[in-house]
Amino acid sequence: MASSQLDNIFDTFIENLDMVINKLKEEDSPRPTSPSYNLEDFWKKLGTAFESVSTEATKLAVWFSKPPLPKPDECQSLIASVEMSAIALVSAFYGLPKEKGVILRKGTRHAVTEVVEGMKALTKQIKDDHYHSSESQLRRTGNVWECCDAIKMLPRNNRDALLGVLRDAGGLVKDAVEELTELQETGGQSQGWEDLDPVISGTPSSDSNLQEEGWSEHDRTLLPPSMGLLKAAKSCVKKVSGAVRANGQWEEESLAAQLDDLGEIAERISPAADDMVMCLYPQIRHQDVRQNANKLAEVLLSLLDRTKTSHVAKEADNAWLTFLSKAVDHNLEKITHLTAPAPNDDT
Amino acid sequence: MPREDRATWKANYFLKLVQLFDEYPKCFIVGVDNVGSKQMQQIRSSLRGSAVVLMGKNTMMRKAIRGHLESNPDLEKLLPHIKGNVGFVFTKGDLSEVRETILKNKVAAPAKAGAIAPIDVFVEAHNTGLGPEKTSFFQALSIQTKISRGTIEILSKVHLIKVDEKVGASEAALLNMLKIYPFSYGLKILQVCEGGSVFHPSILDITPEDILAKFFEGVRRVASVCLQIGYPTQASVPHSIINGFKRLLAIACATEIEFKEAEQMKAFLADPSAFAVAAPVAAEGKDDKAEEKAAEPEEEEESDDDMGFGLFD
Repeated sequence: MASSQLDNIFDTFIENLDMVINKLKEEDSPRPTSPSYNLEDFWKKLGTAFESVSTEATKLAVWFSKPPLPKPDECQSLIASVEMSAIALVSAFYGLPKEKGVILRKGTRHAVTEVVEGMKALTKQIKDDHYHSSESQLRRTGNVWECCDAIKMLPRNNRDALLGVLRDAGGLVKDAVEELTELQETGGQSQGWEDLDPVISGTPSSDSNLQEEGWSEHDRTLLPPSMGLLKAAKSCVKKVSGAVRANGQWEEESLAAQLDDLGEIAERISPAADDMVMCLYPQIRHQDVRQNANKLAEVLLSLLDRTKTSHVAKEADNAWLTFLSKAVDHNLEKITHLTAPAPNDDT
Repeated sequence: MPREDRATWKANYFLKLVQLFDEYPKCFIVGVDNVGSKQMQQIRSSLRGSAVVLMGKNTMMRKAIRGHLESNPDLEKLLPHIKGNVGFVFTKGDLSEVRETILKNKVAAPAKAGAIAPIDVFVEAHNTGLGPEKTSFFQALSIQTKISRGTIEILSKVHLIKVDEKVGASEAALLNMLKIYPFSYGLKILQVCEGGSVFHPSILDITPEDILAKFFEGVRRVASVCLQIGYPTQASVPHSIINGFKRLLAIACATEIEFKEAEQMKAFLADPSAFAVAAPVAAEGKDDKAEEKAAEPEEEEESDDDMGFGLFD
C-alpha cells in the first residue's frame, strides 16, 4: 500500500522532471537583461543551486539506502525539497541572457540538463529498485555529484566558452591527423581491420573478409595535399584559439556575438576533417576526396575570414591569417587538380 | 565467404556500431594502448556472453555517432572521448563484473624503447647466465657485475627503469636479453556510459559509506550555520544542548551552585587524587561514565570560546 503511494509520488516527480528537461531542450527566450546585470552574481547563484541539487541527491540516496521505507507524507516532503532544488537550478540558469553569448549559454544549459537528467535517472532507479538500495543507485548518485561538480569547470564567459569549443575541435582534428599519419605509415593497409570482422559479421573468424587493396600510385599523390589541408585545419584552430585568448571580448553583446559566429564554424571543423580522412582509406574515390576537401576548405576559409573581420584579429594577426588562407587554397587546388575527372573517366 | 569492398564494409560497420548503441544500455570507453590483436582476441573470448568489444578507426566511430545523433542525442557526450587509441565494450550485464573481467585480462609485455614505464623496474642481483661478451650492455648502464663461472653475475639490485619515464634503448635491450617482461598491458577503462550518462570509472567504486559521509558533511554544514546564526534545527539542537550543558558545568564549577550532573566534576575538582585511583578502574571498564564526565570540564576550561564549533572539525 505504502509502496504504491510512493510510486505515485515518484511518478509525478519523474513526470515533472521530464517536463523540465523538455523545456530546457527547447529554444527559449530568457529573461531580458537588466542594466545592472552581473555575470559574477549569476555564477554565484548557479553554483549554490548546483550544490543544493547535489545535497538533495545525497539526501534521497541516504533515505532509501536502508529500511524502513519513509511514510508517504515524509516522502512527499523529501521529494518536494528535491524538486525545489531542481527548479531553483533551472530558474537560476534562465537568468543567463543570450546577449552574454550563445556558446556560453549552450554549455551551461548542457550542464544543467545533465544534472536534471541525472536526478531523474536516480529517482527512476530508486523506484525501479522498489525503494531499496542497489549498486546502480550508488552509481546514479555519484553521477549526480559528478554532474554538479562540473560547475567548477564551466567557462564563465563567452570567450572561455569559445576556447573550450576550439579545444575540443583541436583535439579531434589532431586525432584525425594522427590517424592519417598512421595510415600513411602502414601504406594504406589499415591495421586492426581484421580484428573487427568477427564483430561485424558475427562469425568468430580471424581471416579478414575485407578485400585489402592498397593505394594506387595516383592515390598516393593525393596524400601530401590532403595531409597539408588537415594540418592547416590544425593550425587554424591553434592560431584562432591564440587570438581569441589574447583579444576575445565578451562583455558587449555585439562582441559576444562575433565569438558565437566563430564557435558555430569551429564546430563544423572536426566532422569535415573526419570525412576527409575517411575518404582516404583505400579504395579511394576521387570524387569523394574532392568533395570532402572542398567542404573542409570551405569551413577553414570561413573561420579565417570571420576571424579576420572580428575583433579578435589585430593587425599583427593578418600575416598568419593570410598565410593559412593560402595554405588552404594551395592544398585544395592541388587536390582539385589531382582529382579532376580525366576525359572519358567517370571516377 | 564472399569478399566485399571497403564501402560495403564501412556501411556494415556504421550499422553495427549504431545497432550496438541501440541494443546495449551500457558501455565502457576503453584505452587500448599496447594491446595487440592476439590479446584483443583473448579479451573478446573472455567477455563472450557478457559483453561485446568494438574497436575501429576514430574517424569512423565519430562519423557513425554523428549520423545517429538525431535518434539518440545522448551519444553526443561520447564524441570528445573518442580520440587516441580507444574502443567500446558494450554490455547488458553488471558494470562492475564486466570491468573486473576486462581488468583481469592483462598480458606481460617486454619493455619497448621509447615506451612510458607504467611501473618501476628493478633487476635483482643474480647470475644472468649470459656470456662475458655481453658485459658492454651492463657497463653502458653502469651495472656492477662480475664474471662467475664464465657467466655474468649482477652484484646488487638495480633500479633500471623509473615509473612514468621513457624506457631507454639500452634498458630495453638488457631486459630482453634477460627475458624479463616487466610490464603488463590490457584495456584501460576511461569512461563509463550508462543510460545516456557518461561518467568517470571511479563512480563505480562508490560505497554506501561514501554516501553517508557526504550526507554527514552536509549535516555538519547545516549545524554549523544554524549554530552561528542562532537558528535551531534538528541538526544543530544536539550541539546546542551539549553547549548549554557545558556552560552549566562551567557555572557550577565557578560558583556554589550544585546539580546532579555536576557532582562528579565538583568531586574531581575538590580532590583529583581520589580519581587517580578511580581512573585505572574505569579503564577496566567498570566506571566509564565517571571518567567521561570528569574529563569534560577540563576541555571546557581550555576552549571556552570554541564551544560547539570544535564538534564540526
